[in-house]
Amino acid sequence: MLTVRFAVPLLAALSLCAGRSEAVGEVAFHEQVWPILERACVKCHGPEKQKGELRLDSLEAALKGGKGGAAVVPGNVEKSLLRTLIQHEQPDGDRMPPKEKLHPDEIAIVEKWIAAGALWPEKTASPVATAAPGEKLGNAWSDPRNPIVRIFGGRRLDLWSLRPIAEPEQPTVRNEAWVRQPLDRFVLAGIERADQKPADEASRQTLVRRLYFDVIGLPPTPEEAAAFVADSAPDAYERLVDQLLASPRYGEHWARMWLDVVRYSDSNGFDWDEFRPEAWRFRDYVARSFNFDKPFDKFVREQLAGDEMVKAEPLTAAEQDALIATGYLRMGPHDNSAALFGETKKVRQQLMSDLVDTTGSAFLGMTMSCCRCHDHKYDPLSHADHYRLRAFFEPMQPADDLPVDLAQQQQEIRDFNDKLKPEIAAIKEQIDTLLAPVKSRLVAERRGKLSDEERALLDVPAVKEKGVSDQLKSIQEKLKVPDKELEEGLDPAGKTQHTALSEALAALQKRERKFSTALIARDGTDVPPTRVLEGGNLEQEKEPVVPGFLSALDPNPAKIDPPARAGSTGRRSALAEWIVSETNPLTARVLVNRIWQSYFGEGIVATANDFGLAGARPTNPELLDWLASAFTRRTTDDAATQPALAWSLKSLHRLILTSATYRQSSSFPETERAAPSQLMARQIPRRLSAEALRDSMLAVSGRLLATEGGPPIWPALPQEVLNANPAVLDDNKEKTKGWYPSPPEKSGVRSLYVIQKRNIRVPLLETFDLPENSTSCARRNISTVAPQALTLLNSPFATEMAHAFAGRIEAEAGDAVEAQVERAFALALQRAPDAEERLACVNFRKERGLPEFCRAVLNLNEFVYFD
Amino acid sequence: MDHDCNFCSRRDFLTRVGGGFGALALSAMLQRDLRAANPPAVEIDPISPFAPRPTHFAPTAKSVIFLYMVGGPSQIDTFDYKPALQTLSGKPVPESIRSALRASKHANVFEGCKDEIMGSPYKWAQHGQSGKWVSELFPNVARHVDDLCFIHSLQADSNNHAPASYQMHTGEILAGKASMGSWVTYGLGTENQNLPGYVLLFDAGPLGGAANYSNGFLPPAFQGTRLRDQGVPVLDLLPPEAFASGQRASLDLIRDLNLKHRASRPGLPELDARIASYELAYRMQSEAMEVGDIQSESATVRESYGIDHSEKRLAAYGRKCLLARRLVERGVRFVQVYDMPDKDGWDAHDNVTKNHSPRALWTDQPVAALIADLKQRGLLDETLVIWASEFGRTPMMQGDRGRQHNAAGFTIWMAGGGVQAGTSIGATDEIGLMAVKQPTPFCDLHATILTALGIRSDDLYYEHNSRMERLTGVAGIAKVIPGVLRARA
Repeated sequence: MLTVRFAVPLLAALSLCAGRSEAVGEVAFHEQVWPILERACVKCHGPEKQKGELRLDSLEAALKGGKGGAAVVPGNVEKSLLRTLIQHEQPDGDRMPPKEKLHPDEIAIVEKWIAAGALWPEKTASPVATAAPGEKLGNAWSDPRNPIVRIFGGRRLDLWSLRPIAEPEQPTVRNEAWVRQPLDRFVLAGIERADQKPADEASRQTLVRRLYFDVIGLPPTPEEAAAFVADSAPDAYERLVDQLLASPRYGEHWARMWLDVVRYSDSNGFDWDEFRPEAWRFRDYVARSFNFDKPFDKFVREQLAGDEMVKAEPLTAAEQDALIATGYLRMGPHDNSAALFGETKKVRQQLMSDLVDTTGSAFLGMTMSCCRCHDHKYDPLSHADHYRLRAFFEPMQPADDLPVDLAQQQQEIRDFNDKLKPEIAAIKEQIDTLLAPVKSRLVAERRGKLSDEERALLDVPAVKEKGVSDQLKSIQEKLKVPDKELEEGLDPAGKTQHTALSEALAALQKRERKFSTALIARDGTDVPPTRVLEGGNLEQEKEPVVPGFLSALDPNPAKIDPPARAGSTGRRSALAEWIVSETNPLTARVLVNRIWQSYFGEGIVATANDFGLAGARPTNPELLDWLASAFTRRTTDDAATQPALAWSLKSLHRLILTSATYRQSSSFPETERAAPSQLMARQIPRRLSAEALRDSMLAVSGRLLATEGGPPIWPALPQEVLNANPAVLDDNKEKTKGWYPSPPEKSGVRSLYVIQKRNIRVPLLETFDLPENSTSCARRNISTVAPQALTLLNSPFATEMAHAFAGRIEAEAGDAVEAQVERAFALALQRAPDAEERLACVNFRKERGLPEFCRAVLNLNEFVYFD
Repeated sequence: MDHDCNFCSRRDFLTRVGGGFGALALSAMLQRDLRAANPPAVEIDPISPFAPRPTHFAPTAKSVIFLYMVGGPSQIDTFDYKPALQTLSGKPVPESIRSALRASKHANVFEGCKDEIMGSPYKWAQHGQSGKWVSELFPNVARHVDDLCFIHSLQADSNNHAPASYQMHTGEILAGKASMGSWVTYGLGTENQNLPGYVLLFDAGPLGGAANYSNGFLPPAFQGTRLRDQGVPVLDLLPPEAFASGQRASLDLIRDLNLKHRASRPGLPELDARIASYELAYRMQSEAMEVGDIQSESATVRESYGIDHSEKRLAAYGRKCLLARRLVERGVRFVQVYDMPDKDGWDAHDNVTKNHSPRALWTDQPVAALIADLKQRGLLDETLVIWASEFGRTPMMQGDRGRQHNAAGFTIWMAGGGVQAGTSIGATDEIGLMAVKQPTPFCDLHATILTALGIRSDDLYYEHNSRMERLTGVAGIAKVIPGVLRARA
């Protein structure tokens, strides 16, 4: 197709393209005729409106015609109503398009097309489904008319992830005794097929450390670790799993997984990278949802369309959360400065494609960004599919001023403010009265300075003519007296009185209570049409589309019901319903794979955001489907082999954590070759994430602060780090572009609560692979680079932690060097040093002192990795 | 415990991982079989990701110094001489030029400025054999015009700083992509394994922040490292004073305990890598201190760059240019230098003279010194120097004799590294508003830079979320700009 780099005049474009497509006579339908129909006719005679009961978006419809009979008679230009109407020759005066006649060249093209037989070739036919009214098309596997079948000639339908989730039979295994959960059979069957054996169960020492890091992202205290190691009850492990899943620290740790996926940030990105003071409400919502074990389907519904679930002002905390959840729709980068340069439309376009891309990656594991410009290169996704998804979001607008307080609180705020109103009005009146004499004197002075013509103009009753009224405005402008000048015109007594009144007014206004707001969205009143954009280019609009799901699965326009909230379109609710519906096999597979990936370092599908043909295949498809079906199942007759988790994440965690697969040791005898990781015949030691590393340093040194969330904490950073984005040097009145360090005593919170700006990153977290947060992150990088060593050895934070850790040890273990070494090992590594280690550490501690020893401990591989 | 012996037994390993400042990024190794649809463009040795890699064909440049001018210097007040601008000063934009711009995708360049042409406040003169017109803003650079290749017809896809700046750095107007320096070190590795391959020098970063110079989706090994031009060259390079004398003892203890930990965990290269990273960090301290010691240069050199100049900002930029030369001299692949000393850059909305005159003063001498110094040392032939920004400025007035952004046509120049010296390519219309001769998108500039480095731009890709990401874009439509590079032998 055409490149998008240079705008090409319409007719030149036509001639360029004509040679490349199957010409119909001398006319290429898709390149020449369809653009005319699409631009001039289909808006009123297409999927959205059918004026005169006529549609012109398929040949069938054009042949059938509307009230006036067939629109097109192939081969007979004279008898084709379409031609009569566009020539504006209809005797009853009906002319099409009604507003502006088509260009003679365009009319000629349509005539030629009809004369040549009005062929509407199938091969590149509209990528939008064109069933007869009332009829539904089937999915790509059942209905040859499905546009995906037509576009890709029936290929690409072997994509595993779009096939229904199977409910696989439990495989039989030789070593049945090893199995703790049904999922273990799927893993073990694979291991046995490869003639391998699963690893032994990890030691209790290892397990307790692993469980703490995996479930809550923090190390156990020495006492917690010891208690578990000593607990010989048969259900000790299961009880610890439950205890950890019930900890509020669980939500704080796991929220990060989802925040990576939805590219959470506390700032806008781009040039100004303004702080988003309310974004934290979404971050806390995610942590809260995980802690309350909100069913994942509900979690999806709320993020996509929570606003539509709430009728009016929120009545409950749950309804508040539903509103706050729509922060998902607002998480992408946003360029506020674009309006200054006439690029608002472009930014809106970016926002929309970002939402489609992220929704595709986050919930569906489909790379929708590929079909923004053209049909997908690998997957059964059409160009139109991107825009069908986009249409769900099209009416969306920011709702930054919408109060999120409970209805009752809102009423209280209004009542409270209402009570202040008379007082405020009274003071304002007193001020006006006080200033009135000064004002009339000063206005009169100014009037005296006007020219005669100007004064005359002021006295003309109504000046309508534009030039004159501009002049009038400027004259009136000259008469205005600034407040400051008014005040200065008062006598000393008046000035004193004015100051007192102004202060009283300010005090009253300060008492006025404000509504809480959030970074949220809702539908606006305007529902702009959605059109496929050639090459993703705003200037090249193609056919209009209505909201619809992935065409391969359901090519029909989505059925959209009015939502609870009046005035909203219900489009996003329809999308959310489909995303969590049984007809969509992607969501559950994608989610269980994310959880699996977190526990084993690698997903069953290695590409967690891409379940397409270019992504990885599942290494154990039966396991994936077994997990996905268990996850979504609501009732069961046999909970042992077919659990019904009803979208509960905690139940899914429990299932995996209590499996034999998870409990394997990560070590294996050096003489043996390691089995391929896909077999999961052992655990894999994992490095702490950036957040878990920082949190562990804080926890071990006794500096970790518990918090309930709320606005982010800003660590103090060197100016040179802040200068990475020069916008901080240019802070604004609203205080959104600068850096606002929190008091040091508040900075020891978990990393979840540390400010996440887009264009200034906290160096410690960045060095340890904090993901870039403009696009969805499927999986953290785990890099090992020399600057990490420098950071952990030399940064001010590391130094501070070393000293704090030393202080804690002194307080807890006293002055005895051996006891100090013991305590340091217990706190940081949850074990005692062996004789060799003790000797080396005691010597070092004696030579170099406790803080330097503590610093070394915080740098150990064993501190940064868990088995 | 017997430190030395334990250490010896691992010597083979430590020797093997002996390379790479930011090295040992294991993500490539850990990314097991992802079954990507396409083979990777570059096979990265995870133990030594910066090892020099073969080029696709003979390069004309080994390294790049990118002098990024933040904020959009005005082409019509620097290097794009337009006599008509003076005669039309004070008049509206001629109708033919206006309608051409309106019909283009750059119509929004009119946004926010007056319909009044403003002549250049600067005097112009011709220089060198090539007779190149240069404004009085750059008297020193003007002496080197015969070494430069000007491109007068660049066009950005956005008229706003951050998106256009992202596009100049990464090829895309959105954040999240990989920067040129990351691409080049990903493709080629670097010559010096004890210094970073991709270095950033700035007082204040470019507009749009870190997303400009980020590694984006490329492995973190290829992220840029910021070096300071004064004092300790890298953030957190040296231990705090209290721990300084015990550094070696600390590193030994950490290493010994780590080796013991590792002994019971065979087959885990990431643990080995982490052990080695501490030794590398140690070695890097002396290397980085050495390269950062610009005072060791001769007095003549120091003076030529102005590093002790009484004008502080000139001195600061001079230090960066000198450091850039020292870095490429030691085999660093890509050095990105920003001139931004404050929040404005060249963003002369209000008044061109007030903004541009001091900035030209701060940068002119150091840039000229860099060219001369590279040339004198025989380094210019293998170093590609690029002077560019995200866009230029309008011939129309804004504010009090200022100029608005202009993405429709602006000037950059290149020197050294196989560039056709003393030439000018492309042209804007008679008032310098829009490129009319050889309009050049950024992807073509990127293709040209990669070509000088011996890389076929279409073959330098990284598969990410099913897209074949390239510096030159997924569409694969970039062309080398004709006339910029000397024909390859």
